[in-house]
This record gives sequence, C-alpha cells and structure tokens, in this order.
Amino acid sequence: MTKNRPKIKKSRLFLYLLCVPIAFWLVAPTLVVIPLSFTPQRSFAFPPPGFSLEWYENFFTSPQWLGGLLNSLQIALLVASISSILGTLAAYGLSKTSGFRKTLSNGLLVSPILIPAVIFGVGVYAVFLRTGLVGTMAGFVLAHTMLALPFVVVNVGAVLVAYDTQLERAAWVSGAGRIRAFMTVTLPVIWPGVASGFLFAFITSFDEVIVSAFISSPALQTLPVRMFTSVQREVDPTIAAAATLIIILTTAIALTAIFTRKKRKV
Amino acid sequence: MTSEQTPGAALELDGVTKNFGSFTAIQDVTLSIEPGEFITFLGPSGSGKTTTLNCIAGFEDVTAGEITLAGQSLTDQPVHRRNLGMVFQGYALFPHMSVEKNVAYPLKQRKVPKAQREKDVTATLEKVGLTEFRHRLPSQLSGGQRQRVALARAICFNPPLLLMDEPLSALDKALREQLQQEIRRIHRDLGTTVVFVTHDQDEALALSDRIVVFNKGKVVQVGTPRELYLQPENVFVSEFVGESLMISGDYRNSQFHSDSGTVFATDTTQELGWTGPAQMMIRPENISIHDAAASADTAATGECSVTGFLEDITYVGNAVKYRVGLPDGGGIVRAEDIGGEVADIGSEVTLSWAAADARILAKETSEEPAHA
Repeated sequence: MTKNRPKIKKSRLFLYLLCVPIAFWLVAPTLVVIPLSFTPQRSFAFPPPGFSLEWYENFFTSPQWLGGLLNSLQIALLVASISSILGTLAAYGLSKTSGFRKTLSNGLLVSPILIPAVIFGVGVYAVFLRTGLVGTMAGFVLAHTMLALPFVVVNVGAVLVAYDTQLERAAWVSGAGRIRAFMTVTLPVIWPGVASGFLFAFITSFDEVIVSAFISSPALQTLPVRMFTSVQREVDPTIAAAATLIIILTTAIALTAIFTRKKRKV
Repeated sequence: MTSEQTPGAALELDGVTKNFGSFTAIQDVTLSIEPGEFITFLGPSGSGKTTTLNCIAGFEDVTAGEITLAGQSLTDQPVHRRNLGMVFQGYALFPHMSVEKNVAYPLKQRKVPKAQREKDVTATLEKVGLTEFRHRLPSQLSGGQRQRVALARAICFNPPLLLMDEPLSALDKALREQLQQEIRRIHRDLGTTVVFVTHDQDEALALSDRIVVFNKGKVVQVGTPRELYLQPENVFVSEFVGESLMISGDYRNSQFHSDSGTVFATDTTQELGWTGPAQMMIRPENISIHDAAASADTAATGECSVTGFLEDITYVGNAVKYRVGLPDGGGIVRAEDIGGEVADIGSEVTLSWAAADARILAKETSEEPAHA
C-alpha cells in the first residue's frame, strides 16, 4: 500500500497538469467579458483602462436592456414549466411503450435538437407570420418549448429507466388510482430528473438566439437578441455587463443542478 | 387494529385463462379457496403461478374466466378498488416515505381519519416488531426489516385477501425461516385469506394449509402438504415436492413391470383403473438400504427389493442420503445414520420397501422434469 502511494500522487499531478490548462482554455474567453464590463470607456479594449459601474447602470436603466432581460426571464420560466409538464408526461408514456412506436415517438420528440436552428427558425417564422405569432410572448413560448422539450424527455427518461414499476403497482394495490399513484409515488421518485429537465429547459430558452432572432419584433425582444443587435450595430460595453449577469445566472443554475443531483445520490 | 379476527374472504377462480399474444400463460385455472385459508401457489418459474397472482391482483386482465372475492366479481374492478393487501418480491417500498408513511399509505387512500390512521399504524408496526424504526427511510433498513414494512403496509387495513409474491426469496435461510414463522403467526392473528407464491417447496410445505402446484400454465394438483407428499397424482408433483426413488416400467394386472423385466407387487388398495406406461415412486424414508454383498437375507424384510449402484452419499446431520442408480431409474434413499455408510460409492446395494409404500403414476408423454 505504502509503495503505491507516491505513484498515485504522480498520476494525480499529471491529471492536474493536463486538466487545469484545458479548463482555463475553455473558460478564459468567457471570463474576459467580466473585466470588460467594468471599463470606464466606450470601447472593448482589454485590459480595461480603469473601473466603473457605468454600463451596469446603463443596463438597469435602459428599457431595451432591462426589458430584454425581463422578457427572457418570463419566457424561460414559462417554457421551463410547460416543457417540464409535457416532457415528463411524454417520457412516462414512452417508458410504457416499446418497439416501433417508441422509436418513432422518441425520434420525433428529440428531433428539435438535431435540426439546425436556422432551418427551424425559418420554418417557425413562416408559420408564425401566417398565424400572427411573430413578436408575441405566445410565439416565443411556443417556439422555445419545442426546443426545450427534448431536454426534459431525455432527462426524465433517464431516471425512468431505473424506476421500479413495482412501486406504482404497490400504490395501485394500496388503493390509489392511476393519477394519484403517479402524483404521490412516481413523481416524487423521478423528481431529480424532472428538476434537471426544468433547469435545462430554462437555460435552453434563456440562451436561445437564432430562432428568437426570426420571431422577435422591436416591441418584444429577448436579452440574447438585444445583445446580438447591439454587437452588430454599435460599440456599447453594456453588452459586457449583460453577459456578466448571464454568466452569473447560468452558473448558479448549473451548480444548483449539479449539487441537487449529488445530494440525491448519497 | 379496530377489529381483531377480521375473517378472510373466499376466493374463487373459475376457468381463468390468460394469453399473451399466441402464448397461453395460464389455462383454465379453477380454484376454490376457503375464507382464512393459507394457500400456496407452487411451481417452477414460467409455470403460471405469478401470472395467476397478477390476474387476482388486477395487474393483468384475464382473457377468459371469472375471479370472485367474497361472492363479488373482481374481473372488472380496477386494481385500486379490489381492496387487497400485497407483498412484492422486491418489497416495493416507497423510497421517499418513512416507514410510518409507507404503512399509512393504504389507510390514507381509504380516507381513514388521521387519529385512527396513527393508531392503526402504531398497532401494525408493533405486530411486525418495527416500532422503533417508524421514522426511518426504507434505505436505512436491512432486508428483513424492509420485508416487515412491506408486510405491515399490506395488512394495516385488514384486507380480506393478502397476496404474497415470493416475498422471502431475497433473504438468507435463517431470516427466511424466522419470517415464515412470523407470517404464520400474523395469518393466525388476522384470519385473512392468504395466497402465497413461491418456487421453494420447503417453504410451501412449511406454511400452507393447501398447496396448488402449477406446471406449464396449468394446475396439476391441489392438496394439503401431506397429500402432495404422500399421494402425488402425477410424476411432476412427486418430483417437485420432496425427493423420491423412481422406477420406469408398465402397470398391468395390478403389478408393476419394470422396463428390464422385474415384477413388483403393488398396493392392492390403490385402485388405478388403468394400465400402461408408468413410473413407480417410493419416498426416500420408506426404503431400507443394505450392502448387497453382506446381506442377502435382509432383503426379505421388505416385500419388494431391487439391486442398484450407490452413486453418491450426502451426510445431512440426523440422516444419510444415498443416491442410487437402478437399471430403470434411480433416486434418493434416506436412512438413519448408523455411524458410517452402509457401503462405499460404486458398490452394489439392495433396496427394499413395503409394497404399500410404492405409488404408481401414469407416465407423462412429453415429460421435461423442471426439477433436476
């Protein structure tokens, strides 16, 4: 045992030497925007020549920026809620079928992930133009739900694979009808999958820019669309402040997801 | 419990058949189970015993036939309205609920008021000896404790019928025997009708008032443990329940003619009413075994005797089991331990028995003994 110890430490060291640079390489470009957001000048010069909270002030006072953030949050919450319910039901249904029907339904449900967003966006735009959904909250929620649904189906499906269907039978025998058994036994047991599906759906909607660009209007923009427009038309470090806020939010969500999952496993 | 000695209900199965596509899982199962009876479904895996249980519970719809409990048809009732208690093979405890919540679950579904619920849960946990574990989660319990919780959940509402699907198969032998005793005690206390499924013949013999033996989707015999052991009606039951010595031959003129031509006298009180290919079965403890070389004279003590080769010897504590090969069969002979073996492995031995202890069974045509 004592002989093996230094060996393990050596391999650990090698692991760190390899992984720390890779992690840095992956994260550094994202982190660059954080110092940029504190620049006192209207420029993207790096490193910033001083410190100021001007762009944060601008973000929270501009109706376009703050409005975009509030729109995004509202849409993402609705999308996450709707797709969690629909996706959980779909995954539950899929877990009870097999064969061709399962393969086909599963393929259809997951296809929005595989189709290039531009193509999806054009299609959605064409349909929404005819139905008057362009630039509406309902339109955003509908389009984003299609994109977010697969993440819920996959997450809940993964938990359902390990779910012991005897539990449900035990609930039925105990006198619970199908719906009550699902709500009191199945759902609490598969809850970690539903929760991480919800978070994935939230982030999918919150981050979405391509499809959103097609269906947004000057009256209703999401934050990523606002950022995209800003970066194309003007030099405005408010975008760095916005980006920093998004990083904080998504990191918080991802960490929550990771830690709740870990806690469940113990 | 509010009312001790709640009588169990009578369960009737009438021509119950279940097909899965073109496969017939159970065929024409007809049974009449008395109120308060402890019935075991015994059979090898795939024999239809679990399918029959699932039909009673309502997890499977029957293809044909009728199931009634206390005179009421169950066939069109959904699972949750059948008012049954059930213990599952893998316990199926709700992992997110404490022991006490698990046990209270059926009471809650029945809208039992909270105070009464508390009382019933406490009484049931006491019955299964889990009072101090009521706040634990299932994951914090041992296998035996989990099985007790599953049992408590199934009996807390005094069901007229308790179904148990191989509930002890995951436990070790000592624990299994202890829980068998507890199940018998609880059955006596509650007076509920029990249907217990197992593939373990010892368990079936130990627990049951009556045993229903299944093979290939059919009921092959129903009887008390003693009846099944002493009067099996076919080769399958005689091989599946207990050990035996088998000789293959023909039955004619009230005599058994072995394939190699030896003629044995049979029990004249056993009216068979048929002739043809048959197996003669003798239970191990009814046979005496002697070294063929040493004792030509002792063979005369039994009415029937035959010579064979000793294939194997197993010492089982209070007795010795001999595996003997015969020209037309073979099997197990059980003899008192005489402080050593009667002969060495590979030597010739003489077996003898009283004609009344031999049982003649019709040979089954496509017989595949599921029990080696």
